[in-house]
Amino acid sequence: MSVLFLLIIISLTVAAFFVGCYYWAIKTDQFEDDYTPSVRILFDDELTKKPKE
Amino acid sequence: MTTISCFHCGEEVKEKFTGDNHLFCCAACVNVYYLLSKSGLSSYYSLASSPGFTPLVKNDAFAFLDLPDAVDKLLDFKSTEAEKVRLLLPQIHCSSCIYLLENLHKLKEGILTVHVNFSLKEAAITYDPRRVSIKEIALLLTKIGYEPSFKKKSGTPENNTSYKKQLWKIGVAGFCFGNIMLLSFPEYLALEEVSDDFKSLFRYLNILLILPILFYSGSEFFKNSISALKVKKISIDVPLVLGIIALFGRSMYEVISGTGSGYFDTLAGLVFLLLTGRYFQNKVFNQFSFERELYSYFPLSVLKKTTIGEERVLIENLKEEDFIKIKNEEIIPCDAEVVSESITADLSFITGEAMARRFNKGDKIYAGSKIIGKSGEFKVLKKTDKSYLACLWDEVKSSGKKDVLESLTGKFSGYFTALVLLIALSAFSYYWMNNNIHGAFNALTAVLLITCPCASALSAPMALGNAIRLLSRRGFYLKNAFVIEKVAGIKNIVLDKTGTITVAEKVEVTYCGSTLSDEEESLVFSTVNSSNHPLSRILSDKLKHTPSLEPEAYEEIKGKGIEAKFQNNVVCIGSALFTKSNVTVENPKHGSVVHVAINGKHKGYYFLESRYRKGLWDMLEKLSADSEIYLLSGDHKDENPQLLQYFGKNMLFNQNPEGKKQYIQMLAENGKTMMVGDGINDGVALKVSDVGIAVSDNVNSFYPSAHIILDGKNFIQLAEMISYSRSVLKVIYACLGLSFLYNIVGMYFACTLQVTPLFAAVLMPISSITVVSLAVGGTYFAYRRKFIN
Repeated sequence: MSVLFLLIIISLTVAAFFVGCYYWAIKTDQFEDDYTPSVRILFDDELTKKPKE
Repeated sequence: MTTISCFHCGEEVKEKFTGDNHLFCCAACVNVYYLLSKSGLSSYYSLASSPGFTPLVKNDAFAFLDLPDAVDKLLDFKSTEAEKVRLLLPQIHCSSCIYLLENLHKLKEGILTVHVNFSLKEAAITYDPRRVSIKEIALLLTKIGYEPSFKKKSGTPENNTSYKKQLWKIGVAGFCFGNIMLLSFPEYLALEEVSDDFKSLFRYLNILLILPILFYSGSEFFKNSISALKVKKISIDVPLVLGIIALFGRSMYEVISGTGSGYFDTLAGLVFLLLTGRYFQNKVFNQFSFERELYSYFPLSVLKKTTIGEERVLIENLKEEDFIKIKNEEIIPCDAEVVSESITADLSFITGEAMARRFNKGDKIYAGSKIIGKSGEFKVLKKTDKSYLACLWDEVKSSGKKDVLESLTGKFSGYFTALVLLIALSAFSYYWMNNNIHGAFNALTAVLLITCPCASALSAPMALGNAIRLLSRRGFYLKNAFVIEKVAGIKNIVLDKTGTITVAEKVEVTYCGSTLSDEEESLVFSTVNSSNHPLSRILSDKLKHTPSLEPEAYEEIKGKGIEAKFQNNVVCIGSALFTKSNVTVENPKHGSVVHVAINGKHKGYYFLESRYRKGLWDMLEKLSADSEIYLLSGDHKDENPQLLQYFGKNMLFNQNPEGKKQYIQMLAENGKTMMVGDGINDGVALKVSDVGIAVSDNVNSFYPSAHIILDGKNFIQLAEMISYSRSVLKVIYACLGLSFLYNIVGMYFACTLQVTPLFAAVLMPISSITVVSLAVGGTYFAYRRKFIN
């Protein structure tokens, strides 16, 4: 049963890690615009052949 | 016949332009196409069909960007190697736009990166100032169809941080809520294997986790209720705080005394849900600014005449007695005196007059008037900040009522708190008198925690937040959630005429009489084309597709009309008397009549009428069914019989802003009043009314401050919008009723000391969930019924 101590510490650490990620996401303006990135990610594959750079 | 649409912009192709086997509507579109395909950006066309806009290039629209002062104000960041600017591009509308704009560096040397924010319709452009100037970028953007708008932005960074803080509070609450639930699992399942040591460890961990919720995430409830109590009012936060304290105190007692596990999960869930509800209610429409700055209506710079020539100056630097030159379609930035012989100006925004007016040399003209046709020269009389318009604007700012957030739930919570306290105290004293001290405290806290108005506090934010979101789909953009409550109580509806019930800047021209041949039509066009009279401008605009001839002699007789001599024809255009007309015109009063005579023979007349919005009459019918409707206009008297039928005596014309304001205040004494208007002349009236709606045919253009911004296309749904608001209120009442029912049941068990932790753990989430789903579902079904049959 004492393994629970370890598990609780792990679970809280994991959760705290995600809260940290969430904080980072807010800080870096990732909630500012929730539409453009979803479109932008599709542009990497050029739909027509690229001219020479 | 099928119409072919332009490959670039989707407009109908009338004259064929070809390029690369595609059809275009004009040379400009072909140019953009070649420009893009040369730079390897043809994907633009494969992402969406006909994504472009017909580019319009105004020659010196960006001339002010040559002034370093003006540019410095726009820049976010400046160094010798790179400058960053955020431009508002109202044309951004699809994924192709993002693609093209983010690849702008392929079109022009020196542009480093472009980052588009779709929801704000904004592009952040970083460029190398040594290789490209901001003016060149603006011209390039305009050339490919995205004309940047340099109107001042009102989004302040301060606003932004409070939004982030809100998100962070919800995040913290969610984190604590989830972990508390996890740690409460052994209690839920009543696991016997878990030893008491662990159970108490879990309980103390819960205490640790509840602290951030109480002192950080939930701090605003405490602050709000303290400030409400300070002004001797009970807001919805007061009973909430009471419930939170009861929950926390009782739980702490149970844990420390070892008698139970407390209700930390309920408390955490409550705060989390409440914050989420408020977040949705306060979600604002970033792209609209409900508080407008007057300066955003004016151009940024103006051409000043100096001894050596012309010079471009910022309007702030303009001085009295300066001479300025204003071109076609430009706005005069200050009160001025006309120096040119005669000019025509559109005053609809300032006074509400539908037809353009003529000004002669020496006349005074107000700031905000738009020049039509020939350019003119003016002498500055008063600077922009002291102009008539600015004074009017300042009055708007100062005269507005403070928005009192005396909302429905606010009133409800006042009675509710009193009732709950009364019941809690009577239960307490009942057990106390029967010498059951433990039972007395038990009943007191149980009543407070079970009646905690979580359900009722959630219902209004959820219902209103959802309603705001749904209304925005129909072109109604609300300043905040409380506007809905106000709309529902509207008794009087006051409508402005020009630009509100009529379509701004559009005049319907109809011709009556013997049909004109093509040659005759071109004679008429050539005659009016040389004239600067407002009616001539409208007529020449209507006939602009006909070929033009050069008149041999031309005379404009003031107050009568124009006479023009051509090779073998004489054309007279003007009043009935002038053209020797003996035709009687039907309903001459609700429009302007221009008669035409060729070679001394009366041919017929043009009837010029401002066009009412489609479906207006049906809407007025619906509106007048349950409210009083009024027409308040700054324009001349209009005796359209249909207007008379709906408004009857409730029509006032020739009103100045002050008159409009007083009329609204008079109406407001006998019931809540809604004002619907579009121009500066309605600004004060919009502000003093209970609900001010600014109608705008182009939401990116200028409109006065208001509670609701309404897209002109959706104007005729005003009646549906009002009746929808009433339905939303009914939904909220139903939610309050339901939560009241739960509370009565809960209260019975609390007073009879039957509240077990399990009972509370079941009743509380169930009541919250049912009430929230009723709120969201109810508003959605009402929306379906009102707007989508």
